[in-house]
Amino acid sequence: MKRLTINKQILQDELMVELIGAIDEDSDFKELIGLDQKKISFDFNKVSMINSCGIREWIKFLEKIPEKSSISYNNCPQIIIEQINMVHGFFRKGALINSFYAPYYCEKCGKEAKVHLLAEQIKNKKAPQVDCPHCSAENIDFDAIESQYLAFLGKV
Amino acid sequence: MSDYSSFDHLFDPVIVMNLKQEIIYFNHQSSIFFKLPPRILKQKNHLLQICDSSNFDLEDWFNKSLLSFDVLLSPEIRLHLPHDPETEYFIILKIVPIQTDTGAVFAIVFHDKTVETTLHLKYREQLDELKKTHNQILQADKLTTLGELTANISHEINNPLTIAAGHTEIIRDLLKSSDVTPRLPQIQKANQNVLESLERVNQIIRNMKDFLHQSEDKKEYCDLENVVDTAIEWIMPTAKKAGISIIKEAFDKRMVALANRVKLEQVIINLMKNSIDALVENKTEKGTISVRFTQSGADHQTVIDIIDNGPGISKEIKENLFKPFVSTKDAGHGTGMGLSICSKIVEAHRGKLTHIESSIGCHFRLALPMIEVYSYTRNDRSLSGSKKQKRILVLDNEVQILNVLSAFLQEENLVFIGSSDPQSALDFIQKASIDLIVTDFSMPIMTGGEFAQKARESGYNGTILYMTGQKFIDQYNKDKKNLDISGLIIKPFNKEDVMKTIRLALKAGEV
Repeated sequence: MKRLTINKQILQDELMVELIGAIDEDSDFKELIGLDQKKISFDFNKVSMINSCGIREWIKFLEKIPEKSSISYNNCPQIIIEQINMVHGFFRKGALINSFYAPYYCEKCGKEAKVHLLAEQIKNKKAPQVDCPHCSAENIDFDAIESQYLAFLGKV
Repeated sequence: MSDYSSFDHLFDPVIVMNLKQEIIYFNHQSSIFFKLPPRILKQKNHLLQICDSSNFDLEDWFNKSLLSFDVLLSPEIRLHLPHDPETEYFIILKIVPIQTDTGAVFAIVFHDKTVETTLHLKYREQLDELKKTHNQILQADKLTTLGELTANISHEINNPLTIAAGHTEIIRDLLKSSDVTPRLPQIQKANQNVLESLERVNQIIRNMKDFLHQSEDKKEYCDLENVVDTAIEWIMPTAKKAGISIIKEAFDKRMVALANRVKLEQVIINLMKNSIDALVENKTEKGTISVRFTQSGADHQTVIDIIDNGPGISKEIKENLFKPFVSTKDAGHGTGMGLSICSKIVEAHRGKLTHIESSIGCHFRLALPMIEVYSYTRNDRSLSGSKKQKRILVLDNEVQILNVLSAFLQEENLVFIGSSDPQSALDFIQKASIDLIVTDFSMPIMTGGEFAQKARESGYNGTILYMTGQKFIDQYNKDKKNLDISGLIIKPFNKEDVMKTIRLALKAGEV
């Protein structure tokens, strides 16, 4: 399993953090502590795995971020959304999920797709209508239990 | 149609199966655990279509639970998902029969222990790595000590070699004569001197080999005075060269420790070597190192004091004395690891190495636990939750006997508690429940008979066996009734004799 790599850039008053690899017991976020900026944005696009020890490390790290910093989560893959839905504290109060991936399935071409969605596209906890990225079929099916998968929006 | 939606609130994946072993429901968590969307899961109607185990027959287990209609728990099994064969999960399954309006069904709960098990395996691996590193440090320290002592050891080897060479020349000259018969006594004497000198060289080399041998952490009963003597032999050439005397103060009884003797030697050599370095650097006149044995406190700790009349240790160093890389020596002399390693070695024997405040010189105290307590806590697995085993206390002042019986009894799954001192053994049986005592008969200080009498007077009503030579048979016959001695192990003995006597005595004691 690929160990976690943390890339970070500070631009103006924003700390941008890209997480790559597995978030597990070996993950250490201390290199981010003390870099607090007004805004902190996390990019989870390349996170391949997360387990309960990784969640513990993540929550411990979140507790060290000053409350005055606003936090946003970007490009959350399905595994991260599942954790946010399940674990208290994975998502700090007041934080924002800007974008995430959701599973869809096209009956026409029989292919699955992880579709990148913006949080603002979700209305009344309903997944937006999406066209198949493979065959362009219209309005393909959401491939999870909608109310369960989008439950995190109630936490925001 | 029954409603299983309450399973959706659980954190564990749950699937519900009917009596035909068809899957009729998946809870929400199943989709996450099996990494399959509900759309696909709904198409699966058999357990083996979504998971399989390399070390457990899922179908057989399910059939058993069908027959018993009872809650069943599986052992921890290795689970694979057909669509993700690379990943291995460690799972405990629980099968729960449920009676519904439409008939009997079974809920199977998948309790995921993967993280816990993986962490445990990782922890074991890292612990092994640490142990390996620790052993390498110990070995490095031994090599350093040996390196520093080598010059003087070479000198020590040179002396007997010179003597042997001289006597060989004498023999050669004596053999030149045409009639050697009248010179035979001289030749024999010279030959004896050669042999003794070579034996001395052999002894020095044997000690070096033993010291350097990377032994496992094997602990055995050993005579502490003997351990100290070997350490002194090692250090003596260096001390002699520096004009330092080493005085071993005699103790009135045999001190026995349950220890790794090479590691204990390493500690004593290190402490004495530090003393020599300090005495030399301080140019102390009539430098002396004393080694003293005592037994201290109500807990009968075995104590070795190593005291010198050197400059002592400065206040700044004292505070960090047992920390690694603390040294008063110049670069190139000593690694600064010596006392840290010594302290760790003594701790591994459940003992303590301390520096004692002293107005003159430096005083280190090495305290080891009484062997009865140490062997009991080390050997009795029931203390860590395992099934209770019979506890046997063996009292003998010969360490070889303790080591032999320790091996015999432990092979037979009995708790061996060794003792070499009757008084300590008497104190110990007051504190711990002992099923059987085997006592040597002829011991200094107190005979086996006197010990048995005191044990009975103190209220011990367990089984007692004597262990002695055939000539004490009359004594046994007398004490058999008076002191309720259950049997006799006759020296010399073999394993079968000993174990049979002990087993029969234990059985009789249960009646």
